Amino acid sequence: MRRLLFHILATFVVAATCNYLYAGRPFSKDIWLDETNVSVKVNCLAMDRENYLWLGTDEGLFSYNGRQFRPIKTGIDATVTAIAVTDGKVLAGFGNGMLGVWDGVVFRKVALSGTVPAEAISAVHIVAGDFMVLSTVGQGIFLVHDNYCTRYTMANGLTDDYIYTIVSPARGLLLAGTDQGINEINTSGGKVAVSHYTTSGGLPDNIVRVIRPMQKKCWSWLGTHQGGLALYCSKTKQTWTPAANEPWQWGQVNDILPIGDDRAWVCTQSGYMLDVRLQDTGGLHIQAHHYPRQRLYKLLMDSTGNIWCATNTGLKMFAAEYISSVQLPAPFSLSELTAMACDGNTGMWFAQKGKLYKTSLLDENPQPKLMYSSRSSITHLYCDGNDVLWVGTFGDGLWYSADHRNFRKVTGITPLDKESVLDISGRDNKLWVAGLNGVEELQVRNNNELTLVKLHNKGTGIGSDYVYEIFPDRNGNTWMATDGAGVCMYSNGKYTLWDSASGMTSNVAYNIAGDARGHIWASTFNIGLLVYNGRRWENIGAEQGLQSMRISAITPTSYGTMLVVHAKGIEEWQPRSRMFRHFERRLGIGIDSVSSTLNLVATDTAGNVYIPYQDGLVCFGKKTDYSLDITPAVKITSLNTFFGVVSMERNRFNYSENHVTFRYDGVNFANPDQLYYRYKLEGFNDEWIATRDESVTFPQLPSGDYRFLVQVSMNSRFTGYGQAQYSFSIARPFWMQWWFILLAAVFIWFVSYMYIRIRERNLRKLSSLQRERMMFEYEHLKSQVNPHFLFNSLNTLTGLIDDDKEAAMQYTTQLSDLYRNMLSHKDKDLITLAEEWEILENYIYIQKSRFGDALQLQTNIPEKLKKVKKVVPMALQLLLENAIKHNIVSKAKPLVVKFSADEEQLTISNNYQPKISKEKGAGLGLANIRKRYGLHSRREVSAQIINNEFVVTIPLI
Amino acid sequence: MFPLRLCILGILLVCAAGVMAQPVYEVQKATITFNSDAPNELIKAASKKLKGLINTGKKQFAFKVEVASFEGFNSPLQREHFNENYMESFKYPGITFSGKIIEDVDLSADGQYTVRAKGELNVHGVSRDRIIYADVVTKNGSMDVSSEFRVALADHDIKIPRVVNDKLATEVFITVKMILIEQP
Repeated sequence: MRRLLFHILATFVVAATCNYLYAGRPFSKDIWLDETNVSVKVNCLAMDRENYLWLGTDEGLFSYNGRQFRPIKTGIDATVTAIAVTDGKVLAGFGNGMLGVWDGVVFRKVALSGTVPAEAISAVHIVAGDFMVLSTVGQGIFLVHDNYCTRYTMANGLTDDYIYTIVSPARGLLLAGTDQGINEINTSGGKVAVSHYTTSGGLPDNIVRVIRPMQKKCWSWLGTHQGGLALYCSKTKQTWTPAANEPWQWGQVNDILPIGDDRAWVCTQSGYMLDVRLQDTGGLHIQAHHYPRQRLYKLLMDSTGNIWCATNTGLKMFAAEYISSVQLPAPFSLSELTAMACDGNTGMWFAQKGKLYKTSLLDENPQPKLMYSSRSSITHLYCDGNDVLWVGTFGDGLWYSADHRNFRKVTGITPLDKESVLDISGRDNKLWVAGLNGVEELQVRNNNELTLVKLHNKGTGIGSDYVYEIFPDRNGNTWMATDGAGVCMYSNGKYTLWDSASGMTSNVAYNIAGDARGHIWASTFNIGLLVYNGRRWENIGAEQGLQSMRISAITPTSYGTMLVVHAKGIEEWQPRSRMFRHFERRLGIGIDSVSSTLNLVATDTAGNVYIPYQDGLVCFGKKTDYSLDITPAVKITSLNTFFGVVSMERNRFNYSENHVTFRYDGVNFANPDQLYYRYKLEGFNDEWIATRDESVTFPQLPSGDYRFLVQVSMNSRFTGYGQAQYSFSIARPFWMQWWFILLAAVFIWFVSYMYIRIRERNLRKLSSLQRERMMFEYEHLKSQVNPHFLFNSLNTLTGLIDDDKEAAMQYTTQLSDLYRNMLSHKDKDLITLAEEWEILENYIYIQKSRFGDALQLQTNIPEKLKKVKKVVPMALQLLLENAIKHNIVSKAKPLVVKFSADEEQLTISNNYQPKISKEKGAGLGLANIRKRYGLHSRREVSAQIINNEFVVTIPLI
Repeated sequence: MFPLRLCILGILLVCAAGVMAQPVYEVQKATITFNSDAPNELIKAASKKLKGLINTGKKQFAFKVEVASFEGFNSPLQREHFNENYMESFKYPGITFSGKIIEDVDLSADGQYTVRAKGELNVHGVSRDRIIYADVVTKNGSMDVSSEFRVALADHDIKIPRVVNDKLATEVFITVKMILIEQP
């Protein structure tokens, strides 16, 4: 009966502890905000949409991308005491009661109105859009609607005005932690109703510093000053202080980070990081990790599983959600380990050459105990489903122990007698032992007796006798990693080989394992990993980010990832992100080296995986229901044109702004120093361009629509990536704008139209001038060859020949001069008055010779005018001719012609004594002069009779 | 900020003295000591000039001590350094602690209590919110209060020259013992 009770008790203990089979210590690292390692007190943390970590410190606001801290200029000289994030914006509350907001580009103060806070803001809680709640240390609560503050204090029913935190566990409900218990504020229905819960209502302490609601249940975690943890349900209004496995001794609770609904990380003022589990039995199980001389203020978990902690010196990172460390004392260092396995009861077995040790994983300070000494080196350990430990030796066959105390050699199976065991594997009641002589497939019977089912070796068709690892899959196939024949699968009596002869890229496979999806993974001598999806093998190597090809072990985790141990550390292939997460020295959490012994990993019954490293074991713990995503994020941080920084909200640019520089920033907290970028500018070049730079410049972009894409990944193949994009357009240059083209067309049309018109007019003028001149010449010539003129001239000449021979010769010369001048000037439009006068003198001489005193001439033309002024050629001669033609010229009635001129015009007048019989073509000459002047001057040629004188004035040009 | 605190203290003292509706206890006799236990030197000093009041009805308190009144250093030069270099007592003459008592107890009733005094501790012109434990024994209108707490120099912007780094602890240990008498 007592024995049965003990059994039940033992089973209960195992059941209660099976979720956390090991007492691991978190890996952590301290990050200084300041390069000179000067402490900066970090008060609060938040993570924005782009995965940036925001830190509110005594020295102001910072953002962190995993590599560097960027100080944000706030313009407010106070400590940052609270941060909240809402759709792309970051709100910061300050120690002086002010509030500011970062919109992605600039930080500006929020202009609050109404009753505004003047004391430090302890929490900012955004309820919806423009409605938020601020809690202050000493001034109560401020409800802020659209930046208008309404204050609620003890006068409104709060138990205290010193508010540590404010959260909203449900719609319309606010929960505030104060120095006098918790205050539940119901804001639904427009009214504010306060109810409170203190120690009299079951709280362990009245100073409630932290309230964190759980995700699904109605419960909120409460953290107090001296009473530890409690819970409050906002539905049933019930407070509950669960009993813990140890009395509270870890100091004032500073923050609580709920993980799922039954776990939480808790940090305290005294430097404790507590792993708290809410058990089904209703109690708390607390596992404490102490960080002396540190005050841990706030906690936050990112998507990659890092827990960030604000401390009095800076930032602390805990890797506890994905790995932890089980430290082993010095002599059991990893380099000496030759084999390891977990048993079904929290025991960890490991071998150092011939010595076999056991330690308990629940022990916080493990002290391994020597369990067995073997004559030969122990090369492999395997614990089967019945908790039987199988021990493989080098040269001394297979041993086993059912009670974990007495070890017996397996006898009766000849090939096993002197076998050098490399691997032992099992499934159901079968056992496979791989060694230097192939594989023995064995059946396990009652009392752990073995019978040989089949021998697999070079002779039977494996292709090699050396088998490093065996993996029996759940479909009854046996996979073998061999040296010389690649990967071999045995199924239903048939061997399938993937060696170099059948196109496999490697002939040596060290490890083989299957993942949760049924894919088979193999590690090779030099090309990394090979994954078989049932149809073909895919290589995952350096291009996918694998850091070393010297792989010593691979093993799947219970949550779907594949762990790879190699010379440079441990890598975890994350199928969701399709990337490797690296655990090595560069991470700075203390993992420096791992064992190079083949297949040195162990998985316990709960699914935790243990890998030896320099200080003990790295444990990849069983995860709860969330999944991690290590995909890096990227943000386009700024955009510059030739003229300076441009707002990201602008996406239309002038042509003069076609010199564009993008700056981007990869954000990653898994392996922040291993980021690869690539970018492309759609519309310009459709090829991805790989780079490690964090900026790119496009000079002289032609006008058009563009989309800039930038991706970030942890490997150069971009098997998984984060992406950011920015669409913009560059306007056409103004000379390609429609309005300019239209304007230019109109202008060109106008100019050519005007040109044509003016030219046409000129041409027309020219042609009419020419015509006039031709007509005039014709008329003139006609008049000169007028038989009368010639007649008269010849008659005069005849008279002269007799009278005066000299005069006759003179007359003939004058006549010929007249004709020559007439011909020489006929092409000109204008001639000087002097030239004209010369012609006229010839003419006058001839006419005087004819008429004698009957024709009298009076000239009054200033000599200086003759040289500068111009007239139409033959005009004076024509007018004189007209006068002679139309008037009586006789001794009795002499014709007196007067020429006079001033600056403007020339006047020709004669006494008016018209002939009775008019000559034919009268008036033609005058009209001709008028027309020709009309082409040169606006001044008119006038002809009129004044005081019995015929006066003609022509303009002088 | 600092003068404001002094004002509040003053107002508290005046109000407490003026309004006698609430039971008010005034410090009659007090000793405050500080203890800096650095690797190379142990420094101790004490002052008896601690003034203060506790209003047990409102559960409020206010205490003040002049920095210059501390005596008992290892040498007069050390005291001079303490006042001039570290505490800058000419600039920040007083250390004050005022606030409220968290626990819902009536300290004026005879008995033995452990309470948390929550308030603003102003040292070197820098105020910090502190919760300090105090043991209170009340008997016949007299109150014996004793308390021990630590003050981190960095919390109050007290800079220590590098040369004396090993002679001054980064945290000083304070003990307070005082007797308060109920005001008539």
